[in-house]
Amino acid sequence: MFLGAPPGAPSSISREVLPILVCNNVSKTYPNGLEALKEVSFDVKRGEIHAIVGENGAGKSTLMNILFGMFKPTSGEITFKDKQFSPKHPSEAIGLGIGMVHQHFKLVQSITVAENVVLGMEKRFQNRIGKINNAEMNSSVSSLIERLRMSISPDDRIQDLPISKKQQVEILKVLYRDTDFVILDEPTAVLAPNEVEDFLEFVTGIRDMGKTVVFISHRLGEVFAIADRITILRRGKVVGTFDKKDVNRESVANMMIGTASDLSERPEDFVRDEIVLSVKQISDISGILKNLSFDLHEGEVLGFAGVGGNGQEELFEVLAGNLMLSSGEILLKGSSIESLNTLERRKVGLAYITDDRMKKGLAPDRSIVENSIAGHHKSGRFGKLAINSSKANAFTESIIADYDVRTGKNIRTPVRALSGGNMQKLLVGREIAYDPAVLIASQPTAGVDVAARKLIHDSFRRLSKSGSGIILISGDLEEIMDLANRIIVLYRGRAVVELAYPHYDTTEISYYMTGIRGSQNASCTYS
Amino acid sequence: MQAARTLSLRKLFLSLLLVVCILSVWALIIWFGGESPFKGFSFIIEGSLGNHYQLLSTLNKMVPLILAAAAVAVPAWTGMWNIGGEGQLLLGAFGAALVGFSIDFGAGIVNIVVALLVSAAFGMAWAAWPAIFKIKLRMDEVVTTLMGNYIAAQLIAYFINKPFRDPRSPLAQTPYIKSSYVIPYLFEGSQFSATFLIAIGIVLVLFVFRKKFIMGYEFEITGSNSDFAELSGVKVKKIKLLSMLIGGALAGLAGGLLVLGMTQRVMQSFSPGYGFTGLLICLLAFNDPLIIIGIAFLFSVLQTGSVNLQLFSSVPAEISGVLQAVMVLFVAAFKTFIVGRRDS
Repeated sequence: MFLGAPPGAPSSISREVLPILVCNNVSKTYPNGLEALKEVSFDVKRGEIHAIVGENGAGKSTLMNILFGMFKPTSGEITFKDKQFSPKHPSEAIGLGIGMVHQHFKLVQSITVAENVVLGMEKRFQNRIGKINNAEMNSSVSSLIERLRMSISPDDRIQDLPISKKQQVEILKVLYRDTDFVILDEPTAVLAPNEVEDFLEFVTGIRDMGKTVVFISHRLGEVFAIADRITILRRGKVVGTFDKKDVNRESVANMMIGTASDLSERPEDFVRDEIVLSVKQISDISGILKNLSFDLHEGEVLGFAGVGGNGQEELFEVLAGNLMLSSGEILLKGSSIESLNTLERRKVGLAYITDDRMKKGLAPDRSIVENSIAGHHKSGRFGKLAINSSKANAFTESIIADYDVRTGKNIRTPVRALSGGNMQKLLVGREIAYDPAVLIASQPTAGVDVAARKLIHDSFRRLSKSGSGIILISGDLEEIMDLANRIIVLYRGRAVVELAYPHYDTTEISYYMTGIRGSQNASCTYS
Repeated sequence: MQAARTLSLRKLFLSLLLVVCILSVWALIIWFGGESPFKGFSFIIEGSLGNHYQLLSTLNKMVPLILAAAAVAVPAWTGMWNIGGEGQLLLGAFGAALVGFSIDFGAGIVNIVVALLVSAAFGMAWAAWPAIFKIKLRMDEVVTTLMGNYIAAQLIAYFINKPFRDPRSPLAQTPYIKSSYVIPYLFEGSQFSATFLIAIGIVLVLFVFRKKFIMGYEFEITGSNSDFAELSGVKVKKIKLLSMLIGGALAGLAGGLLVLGMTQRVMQSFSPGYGFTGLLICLLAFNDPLIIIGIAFLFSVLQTGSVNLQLFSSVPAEISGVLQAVMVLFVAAFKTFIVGRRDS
C-alpha cells in the first residue's frame, strides 16, 4: 500500500500508486430525461493533479456534484479511499476529506482571512467564556499559509484582497479542514490572465503537500501547464484518461469537441443574395464584445461557435436589445434597430430563442396556453383588449401539433410539468410562429433528447427555406456544422475566424475555440 | 393558481386537514378563554349571521377589507409588494373628506363620484412614489410602502389637528362632509349601503381583467417571470408601475367609501389597521379576487361575531385578531404542500 506516499515527489507519479477515487460506470439521468452522464469510468490517483476537460454541457459539473454529495448517480458505483462511496449530503463528502472550491466565492467580506478560514470551527479557539483567542487562531492559519507559500496575512480583511487572493482564501478554507481531495471547478474563469500563472503555481504547491487535486477546466493551456493526467468528457461520456505526455493540446481539443458528423448528408442550402441583418463593428457596454461585424443573408444560417463565456451571451442580449452598445450599429433590412427595445424589434421581424428556457424563455408556472401566446399577445390575433380564448387555444394546439409537444394532460397545465425537450419544442414553435425575418437562436437544443433535436433542426431548415435568416449561437459544434452555411468562432468577444461551408474542419475550429490559434491577445499565455 | 385548481386527492386531503387544524386550534383558544368551544363558535355565528341586521353589519365590514386586500393583490400579480395599503387608505379617506366638507357640485351623485375619484387619486399618489423609486432607483418597495404608512399617519394627524380641524369640535377631526355626499343607507337600522355593491363590483371587474384581458395577462406573466415577460415584449416597468397605481387607487377608494358610507369625517384612529388586515386577507386568498371575497367574509364574521362572544361569555372580543392570526399561520405552513413551491 502506498497510502502514505511521500509528499514532495509529485511529478513522478509511479504506476504503482493506488487510485484514491474510482468511478465505475457512473450514469446520471435527470428527472426531465436528460442523460448528463453515461457510464462514466475513470480513476484519480493519490497525489496527482487530475484535469477533467470538456465543453459546456459535457457533464463536468454533474460529475463533480456527484462526487461532492449534491446529486446521487442513477447507476454505477464510486470507490473513495478503498471504500464504497455514496454520500447523501456534502457534509458527508467533507467528512471523508473531499473539498470543493466553487466558481462563486462564499466568503464574509468584512472579517479577516483567518476568521473566514476558521469560520464554523471557531469553537476550538474559544476559551471558557466564549472569547476567541486571536493569536492562537492566527498562528494556526498562518502556519498553513506558510506551507503554501502564499503572500497573504491572516489579518487581512477579505474586502481588501484582490479576486485572485480571495480565491486562494477559499482554497485555504478547504485545506484547513484536513481535506486531501480538492476539487477546483473552473478556478481560473474569474482570474485575469496575469493572475493565472500565480494561481497554477499555487495549485502545484497544493499537490506538493501530498493532496490530490481535481482540476476542471476547458482552457487547455492551463491544463497542460499543471495536470499529471487528463480525463476528457464529451456529451456525458468519457473519451479517455491520458497521461499528459501521451497527448498534446491539439489531440485533446479534438477529443473534447468530437469529430464532425457526415457533411455529405446536408440538404441543399437556401442562401439568397439579399442581406437581411447587418452588424457593423459592435462593442457592448460590458466590454465583452469587441468590434464584431457580420452580415446575415436571407435564408442563411450563420453559426457562432465558441467555448461558453466568450461573448455568446452578450451577442444574444445585444441583438435582443437588453444590452446597450458602446459603439457600432445593427441594421435590419437596411434600417437601424439599435435604439429599439425588444417589443419593437419583434415587431420589425426578429424572434428569439433564449438559452435559458426556465428563466427567460418560458414562465414555468403559467399554463401552456399562456406561454404559447407570449410575445404574440399584442399582435391582435387574439383580440385587441380581451383575450379570445378559443383563438388562443387554437394557436396553442397548432404549435403543439406542428412541433409534437407532448403535453400529457391538457393545455391548461403549467409548463413546469413538461419535460425539457417538450418545453424547448414549445418555445421554438412559438418563436417560429412569428414568421420572423431573423431568428436568433441561442443553444436551441441544449439538454434535449435526440428526437427533439432533430425536430428543432428540421424546423430551422424549413425556416431558412422560406427565406428567413437564422443566427445560431451554440456550444454544440456538431449542431453548428450540421446547420450553418458559415461559422464564426468567438474567442474573448472577438470573431477570430470565419469559415464557409464546406470548409469546416473540426480540428481547426477546436484550435480557434480553445485559443490555440487566432488569439491576438499575446499577454495571455494560458488561454 | 393553475396548480391549485388541478384537484388531486392529496390536495383535497391537505385542504381538509388545514381546516381541521385551524378549527381545533380556534377551539383550544376559545376554551382557554373560558368558554366551551362549541358554544363559543355558536356565539360567533349568531353574532355575525344570526339575524338580518347582524348579517348586514358583517357584509358592511367587508367593504374596506375587500378593497384593502385587492390593493395588495393587484401589485402582487406583477410581483410588487404593496405593504402601504394603510397609508393609502388614510390619504384616500382624507381626500374624500376634504372634498366632502369644502366643495359642493350641486348634484349628490356628482359629489359622490368626484369625492370617490379624489380618494382614489390620493391613494394612487401615495403608491406612486414607492413604485417610481423602485423602478428608477431599485429601492425596495416593501420598505418604502411600509414606511409610507407611518408618514401618512402623521400627515393625517397633523391635518386633522391643525389646518383641517373641525373648529366646533373638541376632538382632532375634520368637519362632517356635506349631507349631499353621504352614500345613503339601504336598510333602516343598519349602515349597510351601496358601498358593498361597489366593492364587490370592483373585485369582479378585477377578476375578469386578470383572467380575460390582454393587459391582465401581461400582469400575470410579469409577476411569474419578468425576464420572460420582457423578452416577450411586455413593458415590464410600465406594467409594474401601473399595478402599483391601481393598488394605491383601490386602497384610497376603500378610505373614500368608509368616509362617504360610514364615518362622514376623518378622525383620530380612523382605521383600526384595515390596510394590514387586507394584506393578511390577500395572502390567504393567494391574490385571487374571488377568494378575497370569501376570506374577507370570514374575517368579518370573526370580527362582528367576537363582539357577541364577549357579551355572552368571558372571552374578550380581541380574540378575533388571535383567530385570524392562527388562520394565517396555518395557511402559510400548508401553502407549500397544497399549492406547491413557486419559484420567484
